[in-house]
Amino acid sequence: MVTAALSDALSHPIQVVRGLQSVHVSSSTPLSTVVKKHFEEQFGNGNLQKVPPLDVNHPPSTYTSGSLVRFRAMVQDTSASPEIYISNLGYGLDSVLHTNSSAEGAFNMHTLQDALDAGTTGRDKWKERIVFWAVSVPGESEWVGKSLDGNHPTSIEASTSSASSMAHKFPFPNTPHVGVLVKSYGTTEFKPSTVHDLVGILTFDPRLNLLGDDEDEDLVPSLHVLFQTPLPTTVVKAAYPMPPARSRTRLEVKDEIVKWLAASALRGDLLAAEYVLMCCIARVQSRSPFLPPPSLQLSRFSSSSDSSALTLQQCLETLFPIVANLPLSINYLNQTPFAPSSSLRDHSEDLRSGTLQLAPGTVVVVDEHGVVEGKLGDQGVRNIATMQSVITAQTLAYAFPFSSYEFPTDLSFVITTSGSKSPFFNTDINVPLQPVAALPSLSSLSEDQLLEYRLWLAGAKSQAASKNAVPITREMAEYIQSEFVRERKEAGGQSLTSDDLSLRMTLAKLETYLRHDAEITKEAWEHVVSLEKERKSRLSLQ
Amino acid sequence: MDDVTSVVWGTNVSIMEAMRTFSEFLREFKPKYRRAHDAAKGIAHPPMLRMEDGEVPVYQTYLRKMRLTGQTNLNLDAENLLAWPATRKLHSQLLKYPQEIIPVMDTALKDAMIFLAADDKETGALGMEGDLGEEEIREIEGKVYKVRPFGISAVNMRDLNPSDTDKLVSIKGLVIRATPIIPDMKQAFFRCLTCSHTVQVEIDRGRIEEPARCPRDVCQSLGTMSLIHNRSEFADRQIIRLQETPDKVPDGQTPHTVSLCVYDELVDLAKPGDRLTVTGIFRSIPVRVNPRQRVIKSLFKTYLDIVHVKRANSQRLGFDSSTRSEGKVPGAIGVGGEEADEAEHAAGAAAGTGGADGLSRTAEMEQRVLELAQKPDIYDILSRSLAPSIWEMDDVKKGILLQLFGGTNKSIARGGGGGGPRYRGDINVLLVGDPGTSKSQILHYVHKIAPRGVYTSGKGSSAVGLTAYITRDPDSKQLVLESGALVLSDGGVCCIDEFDKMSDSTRSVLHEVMEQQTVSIAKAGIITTLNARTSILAAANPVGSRYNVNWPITKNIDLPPTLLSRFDLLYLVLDKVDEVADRRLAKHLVGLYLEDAPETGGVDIIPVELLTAYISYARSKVHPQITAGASEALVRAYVDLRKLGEDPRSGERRITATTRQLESMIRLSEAHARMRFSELVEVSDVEEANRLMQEAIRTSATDPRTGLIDMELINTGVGQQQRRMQGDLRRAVLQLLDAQGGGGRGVRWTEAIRMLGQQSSVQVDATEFADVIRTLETEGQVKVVGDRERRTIRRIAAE
Repeated sequence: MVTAALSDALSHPIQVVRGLQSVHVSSSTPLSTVVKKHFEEQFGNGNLQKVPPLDVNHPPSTYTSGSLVRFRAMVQDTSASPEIYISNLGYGLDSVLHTNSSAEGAFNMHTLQDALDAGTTGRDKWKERIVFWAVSVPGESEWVGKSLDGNHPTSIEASTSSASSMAHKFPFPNTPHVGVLVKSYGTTEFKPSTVHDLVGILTFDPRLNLLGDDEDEDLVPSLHVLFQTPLPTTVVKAAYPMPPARSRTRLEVKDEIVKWLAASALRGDLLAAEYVLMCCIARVQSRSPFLPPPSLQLSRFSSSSDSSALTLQQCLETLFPIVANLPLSINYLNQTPFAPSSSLRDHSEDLRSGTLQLAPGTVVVVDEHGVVEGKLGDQGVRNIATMQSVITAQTLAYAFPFSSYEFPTDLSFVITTSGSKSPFFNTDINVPLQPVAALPSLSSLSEDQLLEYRLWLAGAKSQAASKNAVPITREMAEYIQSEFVRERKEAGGQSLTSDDLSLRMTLAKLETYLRHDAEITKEAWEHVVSLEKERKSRLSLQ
Repeated sequence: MDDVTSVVWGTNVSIMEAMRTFSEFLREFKPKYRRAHDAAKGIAHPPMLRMEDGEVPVYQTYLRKMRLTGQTNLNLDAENLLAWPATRKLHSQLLKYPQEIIPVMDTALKDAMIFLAADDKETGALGMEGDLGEEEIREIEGKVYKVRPFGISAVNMRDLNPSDTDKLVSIKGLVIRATPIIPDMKQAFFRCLTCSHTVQVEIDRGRIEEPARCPRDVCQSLGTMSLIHNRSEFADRQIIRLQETPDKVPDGQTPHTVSLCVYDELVDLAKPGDRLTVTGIFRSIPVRVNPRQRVIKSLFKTYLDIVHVKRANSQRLGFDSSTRSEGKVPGAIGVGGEEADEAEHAAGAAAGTGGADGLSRTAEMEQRVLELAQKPDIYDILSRSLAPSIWEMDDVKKGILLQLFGGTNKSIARGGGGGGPRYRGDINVLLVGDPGTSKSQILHYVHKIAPRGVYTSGKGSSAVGLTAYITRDPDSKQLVLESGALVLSDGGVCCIDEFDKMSDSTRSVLHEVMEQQTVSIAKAGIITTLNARTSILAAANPVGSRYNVNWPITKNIDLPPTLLSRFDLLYLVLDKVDEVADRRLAKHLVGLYLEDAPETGGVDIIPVELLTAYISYARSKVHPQITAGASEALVRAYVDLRKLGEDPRSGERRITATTRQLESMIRLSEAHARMRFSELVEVSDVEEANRLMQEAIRTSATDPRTGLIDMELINTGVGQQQRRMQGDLRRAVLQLLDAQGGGGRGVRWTEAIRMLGQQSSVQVDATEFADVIRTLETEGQVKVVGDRERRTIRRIAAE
């Protein structure tokens, strides 16, 4: 049902804000809280999909200034200083008047003199707003937008619109994306690389020239936030445990996904499929003590055709909401910075993005297929070190002049390499691929099945970030301990180290999540142990 | 009094009153007022040499100095205004209305200068007699004097908000860039093109109004006024971008940056990389979209109009002196403040009030650190808190903990050549052990908590990556020196994983770093020595996949003994199969992964930030000295350690300790005292240091064949026992060759080994055999012919 208030909020958001402001004047609560509450009420319950989205298919250029839009965005750069605006000039939105003639013209154009006068008389009217740069979520799968944003007509011009002038602020500067200057009025803190669902009014403002007096002529799209909703890292809403459809057991659902992935992307290798799924749902469980997600490399991965890595990436994209692809080659490594940096060399102090500035929960598929003999330059060596530190420590250093700051990341890595081991990176797990001779024919998945798989994995992934989502019974703990002691005794200490035990335990947890179980069962444990044994025997065969 | 006109508009500030009190202040202020003021705040000062020093009207001295040196700037410590009762009001007015008050002060200063000069002329002070004085006064009258206030408490630039607009604020930060000098028009000079009438127009609110018509009544022509550039007046202006320093940036945020506008004398004072404390007026100006339009948006630009620049404390590497050519010290503009107040400020900081910083977060952390240091079991708490996820290895953790604190650096000040050598206080630790024993985890952990910790892997790093490399800036085509891991960790800890995988050239760099603590670079025309006063925490894997307990350590790790001996502590982290230990390990790991509280520590561990703060505090504030008792204990421990090598049954002496071990023990004792926040190294510190050393030596320097400690193993790679065996082997080889019939055909290499093997019960080691043959060859006793499998050893006739 579309109420009058709702349609007003949709079509004339600025007037609604001004209306709220005129009523608000004497109240003690801040205006931003009132505005936030009003708009949240309008769009809170399922109406959110009515707000037109700001994305690659609907870039800012297709909207007029003053439109209400919704932007699912990753915070890229928070180093801009807060801006001052005059609160009695309409929530800082007066600039709309110049560009949008449809707005009521009764509002005075004001001049420098007015502002200076306002400055000396009404200092208390000066307010501050947070400013940061946000980009569309890098590596977001296509289905996410379809399932979350509802149906909005795509304009024809959208498909032709090229990358913005601020492409260096997107991790993959050559792919289409949206970058917007966000102005937030509340007290919410925004941290780099986090993902938010922002609803606000789109305007076009000049970029401030901080080193001179004259402002740039070109305008950048700006989003004045009305309210924001937190996004789960799985982007789509997930349930855990999820009841399986069509009277299957939970284990059967898991096995179905494993089989599908193995058949469609890994040439029938079930073992590899199990590991890929486990690593893709893994998250940083805690920083202290540090329990990072295990990283995976698939060695002996097709040396001939380059399509297999692409197939794997496409399959993962249909299953997971955010998948980033890094096609490594000597050129790519030497030219594309992996870590964000704010360099003194270019004229703006902009924090440039780097390939690894990605939203938490992103699955990073690294394809080493394109690497040939050649010389790795300075940038290349640094890139490799950067990526290795993200893999092992899950921290990414942003370089600023004279100092560098480390930011936490939460990325899953799947590296495909044609040799027996990646030449660049050390991972926790190495699975040599063993293709099954005869490929089973594969029936393509129905939309329903796909949806189920996505939600199933999202459910599993949503649990993986917490440290104690699946408890362990005392008997189970006892069992694991005695098995460890027994195995070590039998092998004479030559095969099983404490690191192996840690890995098994991490995997057992992930296996449990994949099964949507409530606790770690003996079956899950035994399953992981047998996977590990098979993997070790494959490795020793090499 | 005409008070009506002299009040600053919209305020209660009386200009006349402000001027009067400030003039009085310049005349009357004496250091004793400041002392009393500081004492009330609990800041201690060193006692004055003479009582009269407190009675000198200090600003009169400054003014005379200004006159003598021809300077026009007076640095004014705003705290002094507070210290003098009459100017307290002026202080708050200065903070609130700097725009109005500072010019008032400037005028008062000029008056005071003239007054003082006239006074001195009266009394006939030096250089002010007669005409000389007249001229001096005339000169003063022609000058523009400026008061540059400073010393108000600095705020974080994040906390600047609209309410600070047009107020006097002070912030600290790091200069990241500075624009070239911008000429700023102060007064425009116009001339009429028809009648040549000239008009001067002053700047008004950032704009100059061009006269539309000639103001001369007879001319009145429209649009003929043209700007004459070289007769207009310009001032220097520069925009500096000041970034937050890393310690002020909230967790998980990017640093903020503010623009500073500096004028006249302050231009070009600061260079990128300098740490500054600046005082200025916070401005917000509306943004003009288009310079031709008067329409503005409700969009504001904020910046600071700077009145005073002060370089940061020199101890904190305030400015990079290498960037200055003529040795100009930044911030040394004008008279007063700075040098004179340096001592006072130092006193204030030492009293621990943190008044200079004014940062409550730091003060609070300091409080917690000091409380923590009082605990009797602090040593255990800290070592438990170090990498709590790693099970046991308590002594390793303790060793690393002491490494983080470090000993004190010593230099012999009165040595030959003015300032003798420097003795390192940094402790180096090497972990050797089986794969999968969480060595890397420890390294990562230390890298996280160590102040200035840098992590690098031996495998991926080259010698240049560790030291410094020289690149060409793509824009300016200039060579730029970029520091590598070792230089970056100057004053911190450099964690090197996979130490054994390093190339030889990289490793050779470490020789220099670990004793001399410098890195020398000679590349692309840049020859320099950089400081690398860093502790090294390294982890290495054994040669085989696992550590062979039957081999001595030097054989297990592929590292030259010269490098090995530079480590103060060397730990073996072995993965032994032991049911009880295994069970406990499994329990710990299971607990860590699947339950709430990890078993180690669990209760009494302190958070990472506090640990870091504790270490930083101790490193910067505590410099323990060795007491007589401790030095005796050190000597005793060292002698005991050496005595271990004496074997009453045989005449031989194994070497169990060298002076390097003594030095290590001193460093460890100091670190332990520092950890306790004790200024004195006590016997108990030495005992713990000795225990740690013994533990480390026992695991690493024990000859597996005799079970005895032999330091030679580490120093030269060859143990006493081995040397004796080599002697035996050598004799056997010579015998064998002689038996084979002198200088003739000789013996095949493999054959010799086989035959020797038959002779003795112990299998002959191939590498040892090769060693022996090599020595014999250099001695000229034997000769090896052929290569590989077909090598033959020939005896060279003794005669």
